[in-house]
Amino acid sequence: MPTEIIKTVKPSGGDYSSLSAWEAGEQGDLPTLDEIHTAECYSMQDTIAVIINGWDTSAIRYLKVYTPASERHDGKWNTGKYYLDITSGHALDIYETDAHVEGIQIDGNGTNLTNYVIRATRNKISYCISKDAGTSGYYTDPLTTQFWNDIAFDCNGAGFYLGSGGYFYNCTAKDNAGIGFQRFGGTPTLKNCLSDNVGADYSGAMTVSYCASGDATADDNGGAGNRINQTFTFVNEAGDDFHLASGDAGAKDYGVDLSADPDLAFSDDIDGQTRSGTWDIGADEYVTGFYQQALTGGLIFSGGLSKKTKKGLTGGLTFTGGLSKKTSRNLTGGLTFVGDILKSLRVKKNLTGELIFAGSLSTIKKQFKSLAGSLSFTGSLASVHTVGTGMMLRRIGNWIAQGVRRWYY
Amino acid sequence: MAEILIKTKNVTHSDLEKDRRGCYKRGYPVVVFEDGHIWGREESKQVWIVEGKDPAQWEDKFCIVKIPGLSVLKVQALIEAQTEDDAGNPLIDAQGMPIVYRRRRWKILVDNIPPAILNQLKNAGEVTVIVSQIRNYIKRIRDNVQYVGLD
Repeated sequence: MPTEIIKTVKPSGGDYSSLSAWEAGEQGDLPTLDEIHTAECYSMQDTIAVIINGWDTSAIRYLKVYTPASERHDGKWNTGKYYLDITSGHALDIYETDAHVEGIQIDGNGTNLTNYVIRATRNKISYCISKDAGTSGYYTDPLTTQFWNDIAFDCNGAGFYLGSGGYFYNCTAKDNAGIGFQRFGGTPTLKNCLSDNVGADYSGAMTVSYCASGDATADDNGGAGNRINQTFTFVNEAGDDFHLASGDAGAKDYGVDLSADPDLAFSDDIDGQTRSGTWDIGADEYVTGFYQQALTGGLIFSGGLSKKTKKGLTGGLTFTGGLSKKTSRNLTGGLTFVGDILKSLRVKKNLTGELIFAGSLSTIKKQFKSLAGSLSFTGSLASVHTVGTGMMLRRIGNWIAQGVRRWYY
Repeated sequence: MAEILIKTKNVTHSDLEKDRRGCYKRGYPVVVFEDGHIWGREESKQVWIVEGKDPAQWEDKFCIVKIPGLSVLKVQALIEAQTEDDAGNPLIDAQGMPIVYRRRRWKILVDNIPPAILNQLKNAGEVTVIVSQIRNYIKRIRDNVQYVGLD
């Protein structure tokens, strides 16, 4: 198994202060080294264009450029997270095979050339946002490159400029001055793509299925499930938030399930939310009840919670109904369950305040970095797996447990 | 003040074409920033040391040249790739996109600079100079023409 060498790119306190310097410092022959080289990019404005060139890679000894979840955009353009801000030339120019780019934002400021240039095979570009490129949002020439859950918007040229082939699944091209998906060579394969632009939405010979267009071009090449002349409704189109609104009738529930696709299989959207049911077209999957932003001021559910909250939550969380899923970030202000917990409870980060269970809970699993308040159970608790180990135990203030059957330390 | 991050070691590849277009060589400028830039621990030997790491473990991939009073705009061109061949003919692909011929167009002749400055670079990993101390050591790789953008 290759060893993964992770280096951070941060505005301060990191291994590197720009992605370009990481590339210069880490380039090498990865198959010989038996290594994967990863750049972990943290929230910052990175103003130096990047060329990935001079590497040797293989399918399992690749290079990866990505943002961890806490540093990644929230499915829409976000300058509070990591982004490349480039005014001239290509922003990210990949000459080598096996580069995996995940969760990167690029702003071309309308003056650069292209934001993403992919010149070699087996590259993977996912969860990325390309904004205001001088020409194309994404330019790709190789046969087997895979794109999924990517967005291009406000570019001066094409959103996606496609040569030779490749797979483009659940990508969104919006408000680009040129063509949304423009083929200049080969036969690219498009599935579940959404295109609504100033120029035409699709142009050239491509294999297109379950795609949608604002104009009449989505079915120009035939194919199943394509939808033309659609009106798309987004959460905040004027603010470049292209999450599908609940009332969307152009893309929501008109895609095809690609979780077992033989060429490119995945099962989530640009936010990392699991796609379920009939998939939506475009980079976003509309999910009922999913709250994406940090929430200040408390949250009370009198009828239970069926999905999850992904960001910080300040001000308390009270369930008088049950809980079937999880909360995954910081939780400040206490957590009270009056109903039953149907799944294991997982709070990945800190919990400040009280944790009270009045209902029953099947398991607590891998949950707290720290618990500053007390933990009490007035209902039953079947088992505790890891909460009572090491430092975490010492941080717990006051335990009141009634009906606890087993403790695991 | 501009601060220039410079590669201090050659990266090599057996494929000569790939070696030329892709691999950084000793003396190639990597990135440039304004005065006061906060460097990473893999970029700056001083940051490495300040963080309490063993200087003997410093990999010496980079050094930093600081030039007081010089706008970063005057050194921005140093980090451009060479997109013309060695005869000066621009290289573009079928779509009109520039193609990299050499990783960098310009090079700092690190080993030719005066010994006092070179020793400072070697020992501290960075040096502060004035334009006249560095001007004659920045050359265009393909024809050895001196860089005049500093003035």
